[in-house]
Amino acid sequence: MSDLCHVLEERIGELAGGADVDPTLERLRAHAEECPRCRSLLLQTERALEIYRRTRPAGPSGATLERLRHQARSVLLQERRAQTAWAWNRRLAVAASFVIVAGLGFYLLRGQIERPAAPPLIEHRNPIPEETREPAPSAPKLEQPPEVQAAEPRPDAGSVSPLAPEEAGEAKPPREGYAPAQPFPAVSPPAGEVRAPQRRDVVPQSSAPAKVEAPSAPAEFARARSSDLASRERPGEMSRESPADAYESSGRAALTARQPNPVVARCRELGSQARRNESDQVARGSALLAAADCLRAAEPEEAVDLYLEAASADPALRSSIEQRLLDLQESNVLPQAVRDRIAEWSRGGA
Amino acid sequence: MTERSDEELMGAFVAGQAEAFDLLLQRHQSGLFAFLARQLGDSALAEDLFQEVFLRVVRHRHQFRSDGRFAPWLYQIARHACVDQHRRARLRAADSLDHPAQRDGPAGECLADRMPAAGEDPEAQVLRAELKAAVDEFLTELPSEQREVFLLRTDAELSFPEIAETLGCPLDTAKSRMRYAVATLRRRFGIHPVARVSGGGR
Repeated sequence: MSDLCHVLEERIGELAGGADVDPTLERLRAHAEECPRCRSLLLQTERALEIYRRTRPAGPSGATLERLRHQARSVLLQERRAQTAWAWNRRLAVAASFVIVAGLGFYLLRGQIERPAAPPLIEHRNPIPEETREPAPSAPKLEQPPEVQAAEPRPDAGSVSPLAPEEAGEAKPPREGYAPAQPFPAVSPPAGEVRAPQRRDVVPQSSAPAKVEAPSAPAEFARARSSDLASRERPGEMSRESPADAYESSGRAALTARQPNPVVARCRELGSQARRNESDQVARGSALLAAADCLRAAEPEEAVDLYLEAASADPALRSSIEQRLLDLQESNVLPQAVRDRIAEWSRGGA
Repeated sequence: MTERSDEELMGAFVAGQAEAFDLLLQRHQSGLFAFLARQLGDSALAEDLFQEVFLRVVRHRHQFRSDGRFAPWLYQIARHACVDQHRRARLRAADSLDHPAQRDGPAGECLADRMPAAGEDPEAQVLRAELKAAVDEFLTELPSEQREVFLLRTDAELSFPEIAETLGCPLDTAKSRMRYAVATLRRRFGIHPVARVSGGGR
């Protein structure tokens, strides 16, 4: 019994398995081929192992294996869903954080964003230096009758608002030192319309804007018209009203005011001039008729005289004069002597 | 195409590939089930434990170290499952068809094992039952340390380094235990009449 026989007996467990690759085991196998005792030992061991392996359990059932596969897939799927949900939650959290930070930043920076816009507003409210002021661009337009302006608006007529000089029809360079109101877009009125400024803080305090404020109220318009009528040389060019109506209304206004009426005086002067016109009886009659219409309300007795003279100057005016005299009689403003005189004139004519 | 190792398959399974788990299950189902069945002596119980072991693998897959070996890790889980099962078995009082027929008898024989399989020759059934009883008797005779090494080597077909890693013992210790277990086996089956009878027939 050699040393190899002892080694083989000690390592018979490794030899019987046969799976491990070892040079020593190969040498022991070679020894077992030559040694009958070792060969018998190895054979008995391998035979016993073979018997043992015959009783090896068959293995788990297919149902168990399938159940395991299914459970493994379920666990993986749940884990994947959880990861997906976590990923989405993380994205949502990041997005929400971004929104919160952005909103907070906007809230904090909003004041700083709005402050830079303030200087133009303050600069705009500052009064314009005296040396940079110019007369209002549309002030001379008030020399024309406002009624004419309103009746015939020019398409290129510009606004007189100082807030929007660039929108006027005439191209005018922006005034120096006067910001043309970018923070406040100017709303110009329609062409031809004269509007008073709406922003008190931007109205220039010089004398020029005072001329800009054109009288737009009816009372102011009527006053301007009456003063304009008084300055006219020829009554027929005063307004679009008929001369008689215009003079009559002016005479009534003077009578109501109980003040010396320059219109009445002017009408008397016109009547005197008409009386002196001996060359053209027709023109004389028309002038006398106009003067009588003017004086009819204020001085009805003088008007009656003028009517009668106009009828004698131009017989063609007789019918209209008779109607006017009839109206005066019915108004009971004439004394009885004058009324008798009218009645006598009417009978004479008839 | 080279065959992927167990460790590569486990890594793929940890990464979320269910097919890798299928391959691992296919590779180790026979050896693990045999180890469990021999250890427990109960096929039905072994099947339950087999499922439990692989479910533990699935649940604790993230604990598998990438530099470790899969087989020792798997059989460590199986050993722990067997220990837990033995603890539970002590508390179990009611007998069932799966319960061992004789408490002091050979391990692994249950009432269901005594029932003849369908279509099997009665004589072969008798021989098979005798052989199984002899094997169970042999395993019962073995000390638990030797039995574990023997089962891991013959049924699980692990290498001695893997056995040593699984059991947490030195390599020479594992080889020595195997030597004694094989000596016991040889004594019982080397001249066993069943071995002589069934050696040429099956």
